[in-house]
Amino acid sequence: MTELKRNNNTANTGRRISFFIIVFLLLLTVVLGKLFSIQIINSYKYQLAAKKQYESKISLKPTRGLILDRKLNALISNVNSFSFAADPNMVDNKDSVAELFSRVFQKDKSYYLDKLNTNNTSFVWLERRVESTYEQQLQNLNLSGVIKLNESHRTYNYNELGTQVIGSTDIDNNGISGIEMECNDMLEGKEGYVVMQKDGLGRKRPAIEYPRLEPQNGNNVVLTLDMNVQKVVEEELKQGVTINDAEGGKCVVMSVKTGEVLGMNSVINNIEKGDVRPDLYKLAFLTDLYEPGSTFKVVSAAASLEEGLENKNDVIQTYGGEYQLYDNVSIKDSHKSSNMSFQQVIEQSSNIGMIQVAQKLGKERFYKYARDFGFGISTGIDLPGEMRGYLKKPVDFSAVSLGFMAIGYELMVTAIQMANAYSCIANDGLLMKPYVIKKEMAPDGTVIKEHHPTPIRNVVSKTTAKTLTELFVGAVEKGTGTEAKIENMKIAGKTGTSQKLIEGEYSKRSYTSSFIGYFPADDPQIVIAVIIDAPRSGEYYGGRVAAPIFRKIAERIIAITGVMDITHPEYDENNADIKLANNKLIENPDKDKINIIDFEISDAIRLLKENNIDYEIDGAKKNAIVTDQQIVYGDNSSIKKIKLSTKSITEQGNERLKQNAPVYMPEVKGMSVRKCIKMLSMMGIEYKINGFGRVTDQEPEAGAKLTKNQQVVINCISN
Amino acid sequence: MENKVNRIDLWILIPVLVLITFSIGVVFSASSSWSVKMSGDSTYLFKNHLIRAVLGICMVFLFSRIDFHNTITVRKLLMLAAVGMLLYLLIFNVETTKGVSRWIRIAGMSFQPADFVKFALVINLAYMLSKKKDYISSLYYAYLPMVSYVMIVVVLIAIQPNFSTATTIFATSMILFYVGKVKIKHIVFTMVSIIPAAILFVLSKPYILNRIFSFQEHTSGGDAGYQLSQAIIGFGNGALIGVGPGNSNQREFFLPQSYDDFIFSIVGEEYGFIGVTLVLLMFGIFIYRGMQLAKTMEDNYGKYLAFGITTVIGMNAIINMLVATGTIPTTGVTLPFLSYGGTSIIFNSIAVGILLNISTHRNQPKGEMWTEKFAEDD
Repeated sequence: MTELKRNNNTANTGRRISFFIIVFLLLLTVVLGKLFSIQIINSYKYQLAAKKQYESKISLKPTRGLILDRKLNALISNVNSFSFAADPNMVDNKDSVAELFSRVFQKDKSYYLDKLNTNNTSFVWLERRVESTYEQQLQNLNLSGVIKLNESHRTYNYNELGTQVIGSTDIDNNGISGIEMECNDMLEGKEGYVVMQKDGLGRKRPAIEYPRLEPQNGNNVVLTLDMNVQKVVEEELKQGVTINDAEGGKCVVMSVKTGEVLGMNSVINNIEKGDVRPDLYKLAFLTDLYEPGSTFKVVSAAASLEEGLENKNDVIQTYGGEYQLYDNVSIKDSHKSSNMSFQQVIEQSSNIGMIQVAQKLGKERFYKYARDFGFGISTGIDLPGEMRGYLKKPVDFSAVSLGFMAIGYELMVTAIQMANAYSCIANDGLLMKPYVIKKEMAPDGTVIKEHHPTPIRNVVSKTTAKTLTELFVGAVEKGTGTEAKIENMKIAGKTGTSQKLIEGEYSKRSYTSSFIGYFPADDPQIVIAVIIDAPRSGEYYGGRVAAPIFRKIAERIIAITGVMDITHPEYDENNADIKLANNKLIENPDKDKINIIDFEISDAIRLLKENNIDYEIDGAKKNAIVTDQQIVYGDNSSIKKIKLSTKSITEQGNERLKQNAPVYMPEVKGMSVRKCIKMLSMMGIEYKINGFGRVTDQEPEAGAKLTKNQQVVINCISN
Repeated sequence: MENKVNRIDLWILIPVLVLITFSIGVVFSASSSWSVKMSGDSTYLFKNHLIRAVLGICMVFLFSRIDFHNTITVRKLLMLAAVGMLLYLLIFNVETTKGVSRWIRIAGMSFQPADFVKFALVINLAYMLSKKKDYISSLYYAYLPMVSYVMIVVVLIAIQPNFSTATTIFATSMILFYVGKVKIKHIVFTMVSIIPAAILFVLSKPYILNRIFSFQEHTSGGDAGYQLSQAIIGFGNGALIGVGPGNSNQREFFLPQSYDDFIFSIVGEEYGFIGVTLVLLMFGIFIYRGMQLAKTMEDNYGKYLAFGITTVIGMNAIINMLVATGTIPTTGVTLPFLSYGGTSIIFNSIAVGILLNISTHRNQPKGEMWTEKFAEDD
């Protein structure tokens, strides 16, 4: 009986415990259910709420880093302005705040009161981008709930100088092209923030003071570009395109020994508007493909010399200037002769002769050398959007391919590839990787990262390179490139004239004229490639169109910067004087048109001093640029004095700031789809994308002004 | 007499170890910003917690090796200490957080006596229930002595004032009475008679009313309503997989007590629904095994003690989680093992150690001998 009772008792207790097990586990299930509802079913709602309240974390913008040329002139910098915003919930005394702002900014008090009485928001702008003088007036006032924000904007310090390489930023200061895009991570710095604490109703929470993290300013990027070289390139290219009434042009100046780009630009001739201007967002020297024509003969010539197939005096059959390459494909030379020496083939740019050379070489070897020179692959330059060009593989060659390719057809190259290939010959056969980013510097000047010259490969031997340079000197001195000749300076170079492929046929009216050369030929330092697109003023031979532009650029570089100066990138004022004394401004027909507008004032002064020209400055003498010049002539119409007007850099920036910049279509061809999408969305452009992989086509073309809400079309193929 | 010693119940040990280990990471993330604000060192609170977590794990193993019957010997001492601390708080303690005196500082560690008191009471009640089981329905000899223990503690805590802890201790005691077969009439009478007192008490303390109202309005004003809406935003922001360890945004001064009472929300934000499910699973296993142990114990003292300890810890966990998810009004209850909660982790660990020791006695048929051996006359 007792036993039974005990069992009963135990069982009873057990049941009661089981009851609580169930209760507890049920309660846990309730928690789980509740969490399922919060975290799974309604999560979007709370994520939105979370985002909204974190936005009361107001970010403090860092100052974007500067982009400087190799001599540490800032090409682009920031204009600071101040903005005032308020959290209506947190302003204690709205009336006095409105009163003060209306007094300082001369606006109606109700204008500010309306803003301060906005409901359901924790952020209203009171004044945006005001000048620093206003900031001082409001500085010492304790305006609870009013936030002062530093807003900075990019400004090009030298008008359009270097804008293609520098690139541009969107309204939020994100780089969207050029160096601004390539180095965005270095330049942008780290945002700081102020946390504005609120409760669920957006009311002020007095318990916690505002946590604040100061922003970290961006690093500076030093380019390999030389401001003065860049200026020369831009001016002469523009002038060259205008004189020849060409559709456009590209120019690259590189340092032979290092692969550093010293200056580069591309322009298009806007026929409708009648002006020649840089295509701001387009790095055409990297992205535009063209058939190079005779300048490509460097490949076959270098290869056959290297392989020992030819010597410069070997005689080559040229068939009297007309040669049947295939059934009904015949090649003509303008210089008619039954045979020529190898040297003459180069100097006179004989197509027939070069085809003979290439056929002896064979397609496999031809392809190997073309590839070694870097054609058909990207050079690896540190700028966005580089195209690889197009180089057929030997298996895809048709019966005429080798012949055509030897003279620069049936293949596509970029200006930078061509410049680099010639630079390789100038550099004793060693191909360098071209680059534009020299170093990354912290705001205080400490070098964080420095890029050094990178050799890629030895394409040909030193002997071959020397021989070829000799032949190129011949081309300039007594061949097709005589217009590139400069007194007292031995130039090596090669002309190129190619018919443009228009609607599947080689045009007899539209040409690409180019000249690529380097100097001093005995110890080459600088290579310059000039490519002029579709000249329409009658002249179209590279020797007539591009060579003179090359000469002008070369002359001015020698005069202004000095050849030796470029080989010693670290500018030293004392040394520079001595060197430049040996490189006086050469007698120049344009001398009375000496143009130093847009020069940084210190460079302008240096230039004038070197040439013993007196000057007078009206305006700031430091951190300024020349806005106007007035030449005072003395006896025998020599320049006696130049009067300069200057403007401080910051003033210039402020002026530009006031203009509301329209949105232009960027160049996206050659970019990956991802990068393209990032760029377009950053600029706030609506887009439609067909396909995937790499962007091959865009509508509209780069540089087109976009209307609001205009949708652009991007076509891609995978590669 | 067979005196076979079993191995400890791993299903009780493992969830506790998992939770304590987990707490080290979560507290670090949840407390870093607050630490910087307090002392400039982001690891200030974390270091304190790490020491206590490690100490807690040691306590679990230490007490699992001490025969739980020893608690019978010290039960009166524990009770005296408990009441002494509560009286001390009422009379002397001037150090308060938010106007509520709940903390005592001993040897540089501040602690809430309530964390200790609840286990002291459970030990005493478990002993009395097993001792008086033959005349358990007697009002004078069984019920009144037991309920007077309960009321002393509950009243002393309530007037601190710490209404929520008083309520949980009262509820735990009633549940323990029910399982210990106290007459249901007595339990019901106690509960009915305490309700008017409780209402009066609540009306006299505006902060409690405020919490209840703010709970109803949910996201509206007041400290508590704000805290709760932030806690829920934290959970929701975590969604299924969370924002990742150490990536909580809510801890950046948005969610007050993010490392403490509301740490569950940080778990939800950083580890998502998956993370909170894991925590719930751990508590589920712990509660189930603890109570299952109570069910199978032949030794009555062990049975009630196991049940009491599991209920105290389980109830704290569930209340905390119900609060954090906005299911019930806000109360200041920490989440056992996970919260920063200072010394509570140590007392909870000691209790778990005792529970583990009970589990080693689970197959000993009769507990009387043990109970008699340690018992003295009441």
